[in-house]
This record gives sequence, structure tokens and C-alpha cells, in this order.
Amino acid sequence: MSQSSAWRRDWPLMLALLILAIITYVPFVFTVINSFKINAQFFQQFWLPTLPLHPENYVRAWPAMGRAIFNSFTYSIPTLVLTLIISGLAGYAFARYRFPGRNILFVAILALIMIPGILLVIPMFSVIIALDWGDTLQGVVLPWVSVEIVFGTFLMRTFFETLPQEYFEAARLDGASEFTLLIRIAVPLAIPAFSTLAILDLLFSWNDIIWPLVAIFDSGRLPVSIGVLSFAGQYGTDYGVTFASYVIASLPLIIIFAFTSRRFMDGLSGGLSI
Amino acid sequence: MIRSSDQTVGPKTNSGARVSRWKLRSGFVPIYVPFLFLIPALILLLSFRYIPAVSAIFHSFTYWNIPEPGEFIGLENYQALFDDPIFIKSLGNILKYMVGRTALVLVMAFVGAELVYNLSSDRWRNIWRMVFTIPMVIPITVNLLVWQQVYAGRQGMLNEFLTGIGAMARPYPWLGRPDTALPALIFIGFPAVAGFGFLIILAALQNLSSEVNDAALIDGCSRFRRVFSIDLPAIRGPLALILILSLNQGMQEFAPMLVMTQGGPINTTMSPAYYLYIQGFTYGKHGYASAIGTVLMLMTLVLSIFILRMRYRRAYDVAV
Repeated sequence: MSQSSAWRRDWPLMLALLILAIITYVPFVFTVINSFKINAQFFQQFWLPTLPLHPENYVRAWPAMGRAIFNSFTYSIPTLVLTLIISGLAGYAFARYRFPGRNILFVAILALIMIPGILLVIPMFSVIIALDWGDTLQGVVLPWVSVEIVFGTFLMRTFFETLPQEYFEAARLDGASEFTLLIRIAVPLAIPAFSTLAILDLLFSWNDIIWPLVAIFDSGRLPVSIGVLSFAGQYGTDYGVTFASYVIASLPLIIIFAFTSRRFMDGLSGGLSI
Repeated sequence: MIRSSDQTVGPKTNSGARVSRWKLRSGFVPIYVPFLFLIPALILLLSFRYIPAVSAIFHSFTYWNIPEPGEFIGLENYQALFDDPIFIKSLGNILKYMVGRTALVLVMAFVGAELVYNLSSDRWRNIWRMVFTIPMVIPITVNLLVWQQVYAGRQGMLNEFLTGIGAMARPYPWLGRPDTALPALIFIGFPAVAGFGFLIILAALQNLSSEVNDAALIDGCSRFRRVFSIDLPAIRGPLALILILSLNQGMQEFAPMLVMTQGGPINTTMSPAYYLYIQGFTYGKHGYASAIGTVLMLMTLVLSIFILRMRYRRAYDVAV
């Protein structure tokens, strides 16, 4: 199809998409623009940028937000590593082996999706108190991992099932052990699926409010999801600084996503279904 | 479910010609190997999912104030719960929220995915897909705080826009009035295209075989008709997945209430999950909160089973 006839066919779709995109992005663009204003400028000019810019808003927001971002990474990275390893192992076991109880076990794990996370928060809180795990790394990370491996196992099983059996047969004939098959054949081929899971896991651990709210008592250890909330509570009347804190809180994941988006998309392109 | 070629686990026997052929083809794997791979997952799920779930249900029949042990009181929590006007109100609220939010998300994700799917240029398809993926990575609390600013009575984006174009004379506190607070929460993130549902539906559409579409086109099927007669039935698996995830998430919704309204005004945005949080962690009534959670779990369970049955009733899935 030539360029011009493609345009003639597509322009209504492109226009509709453009309108949807503009409505989607307006609140965020507004936030970025106003993060460079002081209150007087904000009250005078609501939508458009004004001069001079006030980057010092970011300097004021940085100490609290930088600390929250650091905290978030200390929780998110161990969560990520454990989630990938454990989901990979479990997904592989379900995809490539037959064993007694396989289907029952899988359904039992999937059924956990239907249990409201908030219901488990109370008994888990009692466990955290009993073990004296409040304010500890494992007290945040292990419950998070246990949430994430449910979907992770589902995702990795779906992906591993698509790998051709012949690869594994050939390596088995060459005398490779089961663990070698997993590490040398399945894992390298599953990099896109792992990337998808990694992004979803990061999104989850950056976004969860309820568990950190319950398991962390020391306000200096709070992650971004709550840090930005309490910062907005303190600086709420100083619009520029508050908006700057929103932008700072959003940047780490946007930067990470910029480098991994292709693999993330590839991992989802196989589709998910029930 | 049953595939012939990957039967790799079996009891280890040394005799029989059939067995040795088997061994040649795929090799025997000791039966404990898959369980070895599953152990870490099972330990974590047992300690932080299954046992707490049982514990929560058990403690819903107790008076419980952590760290004290629970004291068995039978059905008292449930009786109090269904006499609790705030809880009853929260059930009505969450049904409205759940249905409204799911309808919005599902319809808009489908519309967005169809618009992108029908483009004839691969390059533009990828660009638009990226445009509607980026907002997904903005932290939820930031998104909620930004939307609080959208709805704000003073210096709010929606008010400035509506008064600016002359549609409204005076600004209106959208989150502060009983009649608009809940709808405002439903419309957070409008137009709600950007999200996981959009990506899943688009992936499902792109995996449809082009032959069916070409055949339909030759038979004189319009593009519009194709969307409803071919695309929609063909992707009901992914749609059911999104429906279940979205309804379950709606049922347990918590963050918008916590961040934006604290359940107000006059409990019009109180949700069961947020009420559970208040009862459990503000008032320390952990048994009562567990009863709320158990009711919530039963509702989620019934809903999910209902959707799964609808989805598999008279359904024969064409492999796509």
C-alpha cells in the first residue's frame, strides 16, 4: 500500500488515538509544567509555563524523595530477584514435567489470585509481630514475593510451554542434567518472559501501599509509594514543590522502562488467556 | 492438556523394551525433580498465603487484638457486621465502583486496542502501543495524587477547564460532594486506555490469523462488522482474564479511597477493603476486620466462578 492511501485509510483512527492520548497525558504534562512554578506564578497562570523557571522546587523535594527512592530499591531489588528465580523454577516444573498432583497443585496456586490480598494483611501482620520482623527487609520482601510468584508461575509456565520439546530432547541425549537443561536452554530462551515479569514485579513493589503501611513503622524507611503521600501531606499548599516530588517519584521506573520496553512488549506479545 | 511427547516423569524401572525406547527418546527424570523445583514456591505460599488465609477465616470467629491471642466468640462479628450501616453502605459503593470501573476499563482498552490494530502501518502501531504503555509505569500513588489535583475544588484542572470554556459558572468540589465523589473515583485515569488490559487485548488481536480476516473481507464483511463478529468472539479468553482481574481488583479497591477521600464524604466512597483497614489498624479490631475480609473473599470467589462458568459455557475455542 502506498504511503498516501495508507494515510487516507488510517487518518480517522490516528485522530481518535491522538485525542485519547492527549486526554491521557494532559494531567501529567500539567504536573511537570507546574513543578517549575512558585505559588504566585501558579495562581496567576494555570495551564502554561511561566518564566523564570524554579528548578529549586526539585532541590527542596529531593532529600525526602531521594531517600524514599533508595528505600524502594532496597525492597524492590531483592523482591525482583527472588520472584524471578522462584517463578522460573515453578513455571518450568509445571510446563515440562508430568507428576502426580500437577493439575491440582497448579489450580491451588492460581486460586490464590481470588483471595483478597487485604484479607491476608491482618494474619501476616500478626506473624510479623510474632517474629519481630517489623521494619526489617525480610518482613517486607518475603510477603511481596509470595504475592508475585502466583502470577509469575502462571506467566512462566505459559511461556515455557511454547518452547519446542526438541531442544530439550537433543540436550538430554547429550547427557545434560535436568538442572543444566533449565539453566542452559530454558532460561536463555525465556529472557523476554523474565523481562515482562520483572517489569510487572517492579510495578507491583513500587506501587503497593498497604503492606509497607502495615509492616514499616519507621518513617525513614518508607518506600516511594507512601513517601510521596506523606510528602504531599506536608507540602500540600506549596504546589510547585509537591508537583516536583511527583515527578521525582515517577522518574526511576520511567527510566528503567525506557531501557527495557522492547523486551517487555515481546514477553507479552505471546498473549495471556484463560 | 494431554500431550504425548513430553511424558518425562515415571517410576524408574530397568526392564521392558518399551521402557528402554522411552528412555532413548526423552530420558527418565526422577519423580522428585519437579517437586524440587517447586519447593521454594510452595514454602513461601504456605507461610504467607495459605496459612494466613486459614488464620484469617479462623480469627473472623474471634475477638482478636494483636498481639493477644484470639478469643472465640462464634458468629458475633458477622452479626455485628451485617448490622453495621457503614459496612452495608460500603458493599453498595463497591458494587457500583466495581461495575463502573470494569466497564470503563474493558470498553476503553478494547476500543484503544482495535484502533491500534486496524492501522496499516507497523511503525505507527508500535508507536501508539508505546504511548499507551508509558502511563502504566507512573506510580499509582502519584497517579492518584495527580487526579486529586484534577478534581480539586480550588486550582483543579477539571474546574479550570470547565469554567474556562464556559460550561460551568463556578468551580465544583468533585470529591467533596456525596453525589459526585464515587463517580469521580471511577473515572480516575480517564480515558483509561493505558493499562494492562490494552496490552493483553492488542497482543491477542495481533495473534489472530490473518486468513480469517482476509476471508471475511472477500465475503464483503465491513471492518466495523468484523470487530464484533470475528475479533470479539475470538479473544474471549483474554477478555475473561481481564474481566476477572479487573472485577477482583475493583472488589478489593483501597488505594483511591485511602489517598483521595478517606471514605468520605459521609461514607459515600467507603469501600469494604478500606473499612477493613480502618477497623484493623486504626481501631485494632482484628477479628472484626477478618470477618470483613472473609465476606470479601467469598464475594470474590463467587464472582470468579460465575465468570469462569459463563466463559466456558458452550464455548469451543478455536486455536489461534
